[in-house]
Amino acid sequence: MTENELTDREIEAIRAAAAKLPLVEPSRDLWPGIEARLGAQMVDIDSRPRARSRGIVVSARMLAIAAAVLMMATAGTTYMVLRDRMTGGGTAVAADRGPRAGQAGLVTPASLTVGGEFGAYTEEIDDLQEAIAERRSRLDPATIAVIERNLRVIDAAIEESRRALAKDPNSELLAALLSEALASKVRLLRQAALLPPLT
Amino acid sequence: MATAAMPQDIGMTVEAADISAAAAGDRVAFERVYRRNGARVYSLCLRMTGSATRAEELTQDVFVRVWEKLPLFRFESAFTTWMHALAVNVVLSARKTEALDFGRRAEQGGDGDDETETWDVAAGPDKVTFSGERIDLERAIAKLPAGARRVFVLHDVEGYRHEELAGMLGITTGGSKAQLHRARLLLRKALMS
Repeated sequence: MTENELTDREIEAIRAAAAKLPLVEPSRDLWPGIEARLGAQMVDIDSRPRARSRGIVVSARMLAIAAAVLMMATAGTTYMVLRDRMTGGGTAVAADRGPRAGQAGLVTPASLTVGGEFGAYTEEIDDLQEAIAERRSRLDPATIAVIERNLRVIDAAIEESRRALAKDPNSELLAALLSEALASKVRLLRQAALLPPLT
Repeated sequence: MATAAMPQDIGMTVEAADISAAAAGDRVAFERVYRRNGARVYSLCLRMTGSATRAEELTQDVFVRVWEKLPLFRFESAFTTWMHALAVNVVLSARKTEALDFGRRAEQGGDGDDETETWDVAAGPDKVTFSGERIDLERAIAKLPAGARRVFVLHDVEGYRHEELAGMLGITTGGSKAQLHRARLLLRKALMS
C-alpha cells in the first residue's frame, strides 16, 4: 500500500461505513420556517409603492372588471363540471382551496411587470400545462374542451387586466384582479392535472 | 381523503394519502410529509455541505420546492426517490448560485475542484449527536474539500453512479472517479490519524 493507493479492503471498509451512516436530525424544528415560506412567493399588495396616479383610464379598468367577472363565472361552471367528472366527488374542492391556488388581494411583484412575465405564477402554469399536455390523450376530450374554453376566457381576463394595469400601475384594484385571474388559471390547471385518465 | 392523483394499484397508504392531500394544498398533510422525510433530506444536505447552518437552510429550500412541485408528482416512482433527486438538485443549484455570486472561477470549469468554497465545515457535525465511531467519519466527511465531499457523499453514501454524477455535477466521469479516490484517501488519512 502506498500513500496514494487504497486496497480493495480499505475501499470496502469506507463504503460500508458510509452506507451505514444514520439519518441526522436538525438541531431545531425547521417546519415553522418552511410553512412560513409556502405562500411566500406572493407579497401583500399593501407593500407595493403607494404613489397614486389619478389619471385612471376608466375604460380599461371597466374592461378588466368585466373580464374578471366573466372569468369567475365561467371558472365556477368549470368547477362544477370537473367536480362531477372527477372520481370521489370531493377532490375538486380540495384542489380548489389550496393555499397556493391564489390568495385574494395578493400579487407578485413580477406579476405587476407589464410586458409578459407572470412572476411566481409563470413556472407553475408552465409546469401544469406541460403535465396536462403529456396526459392529454388519456383524458376525457369533452372535459378537455370545457377546460380549454374556460382557459381562453381566463387568459382574456388576464390580458385585459395586464393592459389596464400597464396604464395604471398603482391601481390596487387592477393588481388584485390580475392576481385573482392568474390564481384562477392555476386553480383550473391544477384541477385538470388531477383529472383521472379514461378507463 | 381520496384524490384523483392517488395511485390506484398500490392501495391507499398513509404516505400516499398525505402526498395527494398536500399536492391539493393541504398544509397539515404536508407537515406530516416533512416530519417523515425531514431527517433524510437534512442528512443529505448536511453531508453535501459540511455545514449544519447551511443544511438547515437548504432543507427548508428543498421542502418549499417539494411543495411547489408536488402537484406534478405522478406516483410513477417512489416518492422518496423523487424527493431525493429534487433535494440533490436544490443543493447543487445553490452551490452554483453561490459560486457565481462570489465569482469563483473554480466552480465554473474543470472537474469541480472547488477548494475555495468556504462553508463553515467546523460548524457542521459538531452540532449534531452521533454515536460511536460514526462521529469520526462524519467529521472527516465534513472536512473534505467541497468537490471531493460531494462526489463521496453522492457515490458512497447515496449510491449514485459516476455516470450520473458526471451529469449532475458538470464534470467528466474520470473527474468524478478522481474526486472519489481523493476523498477516500483523505478519509483514510483522517481516520487513521
